[in-house]
Amino acid sequence: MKLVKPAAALLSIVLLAGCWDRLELNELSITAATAVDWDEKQQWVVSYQVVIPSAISGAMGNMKGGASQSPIIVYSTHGPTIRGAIQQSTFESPRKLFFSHNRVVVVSAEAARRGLEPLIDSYLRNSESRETVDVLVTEESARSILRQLMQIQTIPGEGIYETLRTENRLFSALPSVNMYELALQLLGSSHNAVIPEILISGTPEVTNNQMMGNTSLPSKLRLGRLAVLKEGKLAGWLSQDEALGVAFLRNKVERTNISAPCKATEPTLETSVRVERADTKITPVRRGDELTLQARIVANGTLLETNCSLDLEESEALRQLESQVRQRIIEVVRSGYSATQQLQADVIGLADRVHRKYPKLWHEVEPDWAARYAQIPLNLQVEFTLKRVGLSTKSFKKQFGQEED
Amino acid sequence: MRGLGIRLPFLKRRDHSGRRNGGGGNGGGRGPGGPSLSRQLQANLNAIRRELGDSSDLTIRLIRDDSGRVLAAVVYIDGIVIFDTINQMLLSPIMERVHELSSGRSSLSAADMRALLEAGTIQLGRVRETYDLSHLIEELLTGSTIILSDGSSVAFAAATRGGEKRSVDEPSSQTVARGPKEGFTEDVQTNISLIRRRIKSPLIRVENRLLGKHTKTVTSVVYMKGIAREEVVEEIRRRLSRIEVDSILESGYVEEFIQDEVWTPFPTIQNSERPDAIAAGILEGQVAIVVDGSPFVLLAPVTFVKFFQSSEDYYQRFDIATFLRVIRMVSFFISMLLPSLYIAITTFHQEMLPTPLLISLAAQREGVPFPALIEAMLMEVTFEVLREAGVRMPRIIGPAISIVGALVLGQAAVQAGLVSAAMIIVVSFTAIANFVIPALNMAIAARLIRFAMMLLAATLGLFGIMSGVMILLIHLVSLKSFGVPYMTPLAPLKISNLKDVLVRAPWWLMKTRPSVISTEDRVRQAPGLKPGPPKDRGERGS
Amino acid sequence: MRSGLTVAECMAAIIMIIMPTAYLIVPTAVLDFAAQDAWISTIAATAIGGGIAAWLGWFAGRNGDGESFLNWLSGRSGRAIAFAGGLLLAFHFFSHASRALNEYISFLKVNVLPTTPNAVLIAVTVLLAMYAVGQGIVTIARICFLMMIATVGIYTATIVLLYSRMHFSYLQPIGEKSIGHIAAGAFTPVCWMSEAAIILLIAPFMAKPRQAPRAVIWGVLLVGFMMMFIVLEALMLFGPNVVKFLQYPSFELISVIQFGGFLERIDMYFIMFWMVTVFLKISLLLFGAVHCLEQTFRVRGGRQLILWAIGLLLTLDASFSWPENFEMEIEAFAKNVSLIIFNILVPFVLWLASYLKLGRGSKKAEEGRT
Repeated sequence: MKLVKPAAALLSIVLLAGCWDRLELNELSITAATAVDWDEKQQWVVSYQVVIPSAISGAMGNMKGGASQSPIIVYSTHGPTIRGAIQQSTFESPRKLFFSHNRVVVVSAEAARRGLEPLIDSYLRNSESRETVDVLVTEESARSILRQLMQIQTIPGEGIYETLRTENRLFSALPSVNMYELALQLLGSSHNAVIPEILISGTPEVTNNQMMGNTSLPSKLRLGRLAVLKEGKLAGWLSQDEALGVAFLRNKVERTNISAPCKATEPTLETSVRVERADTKITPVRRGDELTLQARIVANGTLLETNCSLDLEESEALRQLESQVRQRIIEVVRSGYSATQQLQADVIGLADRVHRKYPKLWHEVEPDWAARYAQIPLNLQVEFTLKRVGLSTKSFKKQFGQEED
Repeated sequence: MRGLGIRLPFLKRRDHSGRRNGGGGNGGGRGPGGPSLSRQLQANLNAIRRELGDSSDLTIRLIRDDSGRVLAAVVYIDGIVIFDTINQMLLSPIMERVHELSSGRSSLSAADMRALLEAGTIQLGRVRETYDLSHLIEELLTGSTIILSDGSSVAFAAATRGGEKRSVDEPSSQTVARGPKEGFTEDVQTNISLIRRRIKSPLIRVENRLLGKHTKTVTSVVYMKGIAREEVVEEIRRRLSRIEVDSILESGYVEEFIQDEVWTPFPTIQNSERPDAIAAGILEGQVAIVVDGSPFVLLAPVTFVKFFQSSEDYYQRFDIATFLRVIRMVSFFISMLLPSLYIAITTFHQEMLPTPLLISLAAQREGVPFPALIEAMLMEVTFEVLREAGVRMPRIIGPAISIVGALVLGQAAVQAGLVSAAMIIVVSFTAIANFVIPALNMAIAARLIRFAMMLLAATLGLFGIMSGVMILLIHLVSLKSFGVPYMTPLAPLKISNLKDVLVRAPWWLMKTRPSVISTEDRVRQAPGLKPGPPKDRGERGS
Repeated sequence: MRSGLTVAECMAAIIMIIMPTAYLIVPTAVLDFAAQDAWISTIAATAIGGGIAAWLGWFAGRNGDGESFLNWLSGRSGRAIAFAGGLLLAFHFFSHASRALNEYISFLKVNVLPTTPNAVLIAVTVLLAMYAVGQGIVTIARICFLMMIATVGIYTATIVLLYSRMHFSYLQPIGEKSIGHIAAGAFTPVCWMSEAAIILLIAPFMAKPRQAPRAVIWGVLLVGFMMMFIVLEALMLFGPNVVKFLQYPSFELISVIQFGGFLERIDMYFIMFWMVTVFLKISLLLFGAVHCLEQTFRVRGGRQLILWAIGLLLTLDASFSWPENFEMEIEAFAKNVSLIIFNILVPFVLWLASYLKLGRGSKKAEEGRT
């Protein structure tokens, strides 16, 4: 009777008792994106972008209303705490909210100014919410971001996530920050963090399927600037160029695009270079009581477009291009750095590096690091090499000019 | 056998020393003696007729001498004898000799008759003497021809066993693309001959016994001395002799009586319809049990991994064999766990699904009335019904209906909104995966366990599945087949035996036999047999 | 040579009795004291643990004839001591099994099955453990071995999948914490490693009991290695500040795996593996309790009875006697103390006692020596 007894006992317990944790798929509200606002009544307003599966997938024989139904539905609840607000949804929703497939959390600037600690705590504490959601900030109402439909990608939450990933990979100015990375940054030695911004460019908002029928949408979701958080609260913004500079310093640049002028004396940007690889090393250097930030960037790239009159087979021309790009990188990095210094926000991780390299010094400077940071000079070295010039050997302008001669 | 109930008190009970055994190694199973034969022919014939209830296929041919006196009788049961043999080898010679001898005399005495018979008139290979009525009846019923002579209490039983038999044909189950296409038949002699034709070694031992009170089924134990373990052979002998039952009609009966563990869905004895598989098993140290009336020969002891090996693995190249073996293992798990995994993941752990898949599944589930477990059970039971029906249907319509039935039924169910399309895919893939397992008895285990797993999955999700898998694992690791742990060579781990488990090592690497099954003499190949072109001397660039 | 556990299987059993619950908590426990130098603490703990294991293994190996531990002990030092030792050990294994069950169920309730009642989870686990113990330690050890191989594969898989997210820089500055802190961090892992004392009970089941030291030392070394590994991974992924406030950092590690665009949120697979290992630990502890009681009381044929009794008792204990409120710190400290008492002090006393030669067995051996 070796197998029968325990098997029978097990099965009988299991059958007699019933099942508690079971949730059928059609009892779930699959949330693709969440938004957190802070309203005038001093309450958290949490909005959910819920996917309607039958509108998207159109399974066999179950087409209900087909293309005219919107793929998502957005609704909001409010409460004194974030989880309290989420619980309020049970009054409205026929199904249980399911957050495991949540891709992005959009936080309104107002909520960010109050501080993101409650949000992070709620995410890390619950097993249902994933710590890998991307966090974004918006100056408009976060709920309106959720309501906006997107081109190509049916579920806007997924779309925002993918846009962020693509930008991260190809332009690297705005980093994708997920919840646990945010916690990591805020708990680092400097207690500062950066979050990308999302906004709706254009009016009116595209919120139903009718408007999606046109070939060109009046308004779109767009990534914007970079938000800087100090001690968990929104402190300021960095423009895209400045954000790129900060990204260089944080060694987060995978690939980006630099536009440079032909000569230092001409301001117009005529050349476009794709940076294929950039490695940055930043080191704090201490002389007595003075700290300097030593940064060294080694990058290489490909020439994409140039309107300068150049014969690229001459090494002199290449050197000239490289030096212009180098200058431009230096400008970008310096502008980013000084922007952070103006905000007195150390977002590049200098505090961690000082902590690691000079632990004793760190304990002294830690209390007013923010002010100290604002005064640390930047010693920047950039090396840029043009590895490939593409398929043409001369710029078209030069060729054109020669023909005319 | 025992206690036929006939006591003829005026006959003395003879002891068994008078019996001679013909042939090598064949023992006849007999109970303690029954009544002896009388000296009078008529009395014997009457006794025989009475025993068999005057059955109409009992044929008695009286042999008279020229004067018409009945000298002897040839008795056989029509249909189970080879009629030609009786005529040519038995009746003709006897009649001739009788005619010769009695041409000079008026009558032949009993002694003459007996001398005639003993002198080799009967031109058959195996002739036995018997003094005993019950033994005689036994021989008669197994197809021998009995020659009784008047005035002598000795009867001769000549082996003329025959009757219609199926010819050696392709096995109906366990077919292969490459490999021998002979399959066992129902006749035990033919089967043993098929084995003997493959193993021409003097180490082969064949031990017969009769099982089944009424069926007296010949059961042969075949093994190789010195390669199979003595303890195992002894254990098998012991278990077989414990069987006391009315009938043994198929090897499955024997299997159920001698298996190690009753309460397990997993088979502990292997069976095969293919002589090459059985011969391979015997050569590795297993013991074969051939049962008359069944083309399925048993092999013991067996381990879990053997059920995933097909004979074809050894005839094709090792790379494809390895690949297919991995597929079989995976299919076993699929056929056992796929529906339960589907239920568990879609009702308890939806976060594991990638988002597009989740949305697609959710869309399919809209409007489906049943929870996932009921859906799964419905479809699984439907498929089992279809499968069983496919077995019984006449050959012509069978495949068509089962395919059409499956597809149409599934399709219609989805369109009616009864089940979701994903469930149909899951259930049909499970059924197909079940067919990949080469041994039917193992496939049946997977089929049964599947349902228990589904119940566990529906109540406790992946925790339930893990509990079920744990129970099975504990059970499998503690199971033994004739003293050999079932999960060898995985647990206990024997690395040298692993070369035939998940992969099929090339032949030139398999130098030793599996250590758990065979004895110490395990080398079966000379070393250094790796093939290759001959090493050229002095040729450059090669 | 009889058939029995091989060294590898015994080693796997030792690993499985220490590792599963340690896996959950080791980063938090050690990081509380040693911050980013926690991995040094684990190395120190391994060294100390290895020493303890060597002593325990040697003690177990002296009983080289395959006689059960308590029998051998009563032969050496008298029935009274063996009786007391048996009772103490049985009590320890029982309470530890209950505690391990507690941790297991808490984890399940948080992460896997939130609304299923405790009683069902407890009953299922205890039934399975009883079944495993009923089949014998050999079966359990063999399954431990299989799971150990799987665990190695899983660890490798986690490194490969998480590699891109790891930062070596989180380990710096090295040596910021004082030796005292590092040693304090090593205290808890050493206490856990002392659970290798079960080798005393398992060694007689080995094919060659004299090889017990080898098994247990290797087991503890591997456990130490795995602990260091987990701590390193947690540190390199999350950094010391975040790990401190996560309750189950090792599983947070796995929740963040995102690979190739489709392999995400796969932590349930790893949780499943881990569940099997915890269940093996509970079975081993239950085996310890049942075995000790069986040998102490020598009830003829009473194995089944004791098994069911202990199982029932365990279920009841787990269902009713756990503290209702969540007091982590006191509980952890008390647990460490009890581990030391029962796994180190009691065997120490028994070891000393085994030299006393009070028992009849030793006298018989001397008389009967030819």
